[in-house]
Amino acid sequence: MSFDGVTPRTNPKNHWEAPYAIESCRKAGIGVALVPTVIKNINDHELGGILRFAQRNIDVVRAISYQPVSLTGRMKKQEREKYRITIPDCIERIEEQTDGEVPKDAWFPVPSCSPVTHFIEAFTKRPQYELSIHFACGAGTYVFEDKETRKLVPITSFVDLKGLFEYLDEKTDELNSGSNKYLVAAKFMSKLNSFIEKDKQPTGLNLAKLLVGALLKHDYSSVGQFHIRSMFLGMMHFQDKYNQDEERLQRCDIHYLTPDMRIIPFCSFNVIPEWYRDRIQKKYGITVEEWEKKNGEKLEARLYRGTLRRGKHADGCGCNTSAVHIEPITGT
Amino acid sequence: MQTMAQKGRREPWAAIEKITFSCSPQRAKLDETLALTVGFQVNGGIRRNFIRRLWEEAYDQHDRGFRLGYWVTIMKNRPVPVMAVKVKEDKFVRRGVFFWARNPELPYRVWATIATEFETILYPKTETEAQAMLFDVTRSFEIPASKLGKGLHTLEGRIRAKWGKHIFTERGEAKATSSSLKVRIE
Repeated sequence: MSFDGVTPRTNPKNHWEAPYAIESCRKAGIGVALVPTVIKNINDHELGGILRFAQRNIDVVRAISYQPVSLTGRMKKQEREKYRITIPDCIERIEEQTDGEVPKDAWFPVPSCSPVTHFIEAFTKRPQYELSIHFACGAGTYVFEDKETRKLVPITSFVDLKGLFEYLDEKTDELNSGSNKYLVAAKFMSKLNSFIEKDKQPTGLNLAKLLVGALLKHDYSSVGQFHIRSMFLGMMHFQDKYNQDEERLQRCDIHYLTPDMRIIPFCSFNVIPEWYRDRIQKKYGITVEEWEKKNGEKLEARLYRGTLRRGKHADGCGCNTSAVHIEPITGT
Repeated sequence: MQTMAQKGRREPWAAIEKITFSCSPQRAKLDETLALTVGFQVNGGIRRNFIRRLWEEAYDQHDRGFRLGYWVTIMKNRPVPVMAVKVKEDKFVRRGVFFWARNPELPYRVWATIATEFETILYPKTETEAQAMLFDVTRSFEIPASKLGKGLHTLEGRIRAKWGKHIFTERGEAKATSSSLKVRIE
């Protein structure tokens, strides 16, 4: 769910609607990932606020995927500097705005999780989806809420992740070399606790048990249990015309599949629209009139017109009803 | 199998060769620091098979990386060999990762990057360079002379390399010991 801030000014899109959507998901037992687009000088001061909002709804919110803005189109250097924000900038802001609860060193580049994928592949003998993107494209971490202090505790503060990944690599090699998988699983279970500092582990959490379930059982309920107890914080910074890097494109794992069966990296598709997006849309798209004729309804008939923000508010929805004047963020 | 042809029938998959072991200074005072350096090469079928043709074959069979664990231990010898004392131990890992290059400057589809213990990802230009990055090792240690104590000591470096099974190699391990070195601490 798009969620660009905690005030109507930073999130005019769905500030009023978001609490209702979350409540509906809570009732339906569905998890939510918040996806804020981060723009410097617009909403970068609310990254911590977004995290606190997610923490208040941690039973429903499984993840926040911060997306530093990709400035498509050309603009003057001064304007670029005003709006562009990078992954390290966001990480720094989050540290500042959470009073160090989620520090800079809690974050890992996305492909760091490869040893986990490789281990599961070797253990289950089934290929898995692997996030092998360029390290500069994204970062992530897991946080847990301490039931007593109500503070967020990042996984890095009580798990030696580097050691664990190294150990997983070693065991993957053993599995691929023909070692008995049950023997390897037994070794893994006995060693796992040495990577976890139990005294620093948040109250009410048994991470070793969750990890054993997620890595060895590898069924949806075990993986689900891990995600219910944790909240994933991720970042993905799409490229723009000024920093497009072919090496990153070569390792992309977010693609568009076009009707002519071409697979195009996200950043090529959107950042060089005249080569990809525009041509493809022109070739395969249909006009609004054609769509309406084909479907027998008006396209705008299902459009949500913001009735919630004009009507009554739910108790404790967090809306600042006095701040009714909203300036929409104009795109560039 | 093509990969097996790369190795002689009685030849082991790997041998640790060209071992160098040095200490500077070899005559030191108790409050000084000793710089020990161990260098070696891993040769044999494992090295010869680390070539682009087999990287591609491995990549196509979802075997995308080669992990090589190294252990280098400096031992202080005693008259009875089993009583030798460990002075310093270092474990590190080097990796070759095969990837679909898509680099117009490389005329190949699959190429390798090498990750070393120095936390830098290396992009070799040739197969020979890739082999050197993965299999040629020089490790330096600094130890206080006081750790050895006063007297004449005999030091040696023990080396072990271990790897798993891949398209281009069976799993295995190689061990070797350097020549011994006399160090006097006054």
